Amino acid sequence: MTRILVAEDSATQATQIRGLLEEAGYEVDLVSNGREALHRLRGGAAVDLVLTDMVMPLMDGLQLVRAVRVHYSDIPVILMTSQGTDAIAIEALEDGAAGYVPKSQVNLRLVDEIAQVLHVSQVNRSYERLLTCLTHNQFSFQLSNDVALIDPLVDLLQQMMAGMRLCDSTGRVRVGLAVEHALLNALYRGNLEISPKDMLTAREMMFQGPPSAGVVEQRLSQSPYCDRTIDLDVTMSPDEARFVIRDQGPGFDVSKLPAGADPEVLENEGGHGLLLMQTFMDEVTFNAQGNEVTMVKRREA
Amino acid sequence: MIEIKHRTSGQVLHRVDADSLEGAVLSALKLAGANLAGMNLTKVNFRSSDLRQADLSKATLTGANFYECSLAFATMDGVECTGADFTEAVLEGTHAHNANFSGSVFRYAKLPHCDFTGSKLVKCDMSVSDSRGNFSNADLSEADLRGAKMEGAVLRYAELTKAKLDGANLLKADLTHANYNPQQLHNARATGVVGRSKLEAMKKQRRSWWQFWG
Repeated sequence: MTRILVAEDSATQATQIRGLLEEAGYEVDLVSNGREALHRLRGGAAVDLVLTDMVMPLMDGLQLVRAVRVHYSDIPVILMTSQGTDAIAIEALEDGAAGYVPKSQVNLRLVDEIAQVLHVSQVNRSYERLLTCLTHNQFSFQLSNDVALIDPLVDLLQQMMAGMRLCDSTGRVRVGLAVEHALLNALYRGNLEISPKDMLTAREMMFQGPPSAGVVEQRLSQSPYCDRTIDLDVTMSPDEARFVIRDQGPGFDVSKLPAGADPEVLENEGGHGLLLMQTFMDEVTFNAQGNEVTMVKRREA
Repeated sequence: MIEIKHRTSGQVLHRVDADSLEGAVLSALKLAGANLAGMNLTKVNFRSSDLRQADLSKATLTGANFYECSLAFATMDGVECTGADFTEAVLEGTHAHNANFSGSVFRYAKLPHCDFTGSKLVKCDMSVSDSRGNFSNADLSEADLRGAKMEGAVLRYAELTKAKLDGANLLKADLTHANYNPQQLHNARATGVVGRSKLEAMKKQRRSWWQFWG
């Protein structure tokens, strides 16, 4: 059974989280601060994912993220953020966390976020040894609007990155999540022109099976949406991986993107994917039309 | 019989019924302000002891265990302390000039305001430590500083050859005349670093996510 180590100093919230996770079929190990979490890991506890609060006594979430990234890099960490911890949460995302869930949205998003991160972290390593011999890789995909193609594609990209040894396993998970968010954005927001409000529904549908009703299903069989494709160009070398993802939607006004740090982004579902892409990649740029994103991950020293 | 006395008052803090302290178990003891200067404390187990403001200058501490110890404002000038364990120890304000800590472990240790000027920290594991102190002229070659908090740390003339700095926070650190390869800072936070002459070769400066949109 998948085991999640939860670091949360509030007994009430810990109980709520345990209930949610156990109901979703996870085994839960609760600790009250980052130091206890590290002691569990050092003691050899078999943990698949760490879920941590940001503000805790003895060792906070930021220190825990750094420690796990350095000493237990196979284990992804998800943050639980709250108002007032935005700056530290963004620092933790930059330092190695694989995702975040605002505490105000724990009931709505926690289980989905964990499922997504665990899925991406469980990469098939069957080709890992062979791929270490690879020195350069370049390929292009033209994808239909089929969400089922995204998982195996992200899995393939992670395997390629493992072979290139561009980053450690946590880094690969983070790149995989960034690509996944970019592809989902290209599919739903770009090609199908789904509104941010309806994206919530689409997101849920991704984990619960193919869409069976609503605007997503309609547009999957309606012109011009159904005729559009997603182009993905990938170039990998031992120095960097470059991903160019282009949809055939109308794009968006790039100038309307936030001009500065927005502390409310962590609480905003619409900014979730963009924030993760920016923190997990070394470079993220859009074309002027807003329908093509280029993401670069450089080799970790 | 060996008596451990307070460095100023002379009060006896602890007695050990032995001819030598080498290999002694002195764990979970209250030894704040103890005078241990010049003693042979090889492989002594101080685990979880209170050694705040203790004088350990010129002591031999090879292989000693300071796990979870408090050494805040202790004096460790000139100690020979290779292969010691300082995991989760508190060394806030600790003064350790020209000491040899090579091969020691400082994982998760707290060293803010420490002064390790001229000390040897070769191959030390200082990962995820709080090392916001003075390491001027220190030899940190091959040290593991991944994830270390070194914001504002003074590393003037420090030797950092082959030191691992991935994820280290070096914001506003002073690296003037320090010896390192700019590539070592590729995955570190290095904004506002003083002594950037060697950093000019860096092709890329990592940007925070929000800076892109500006």
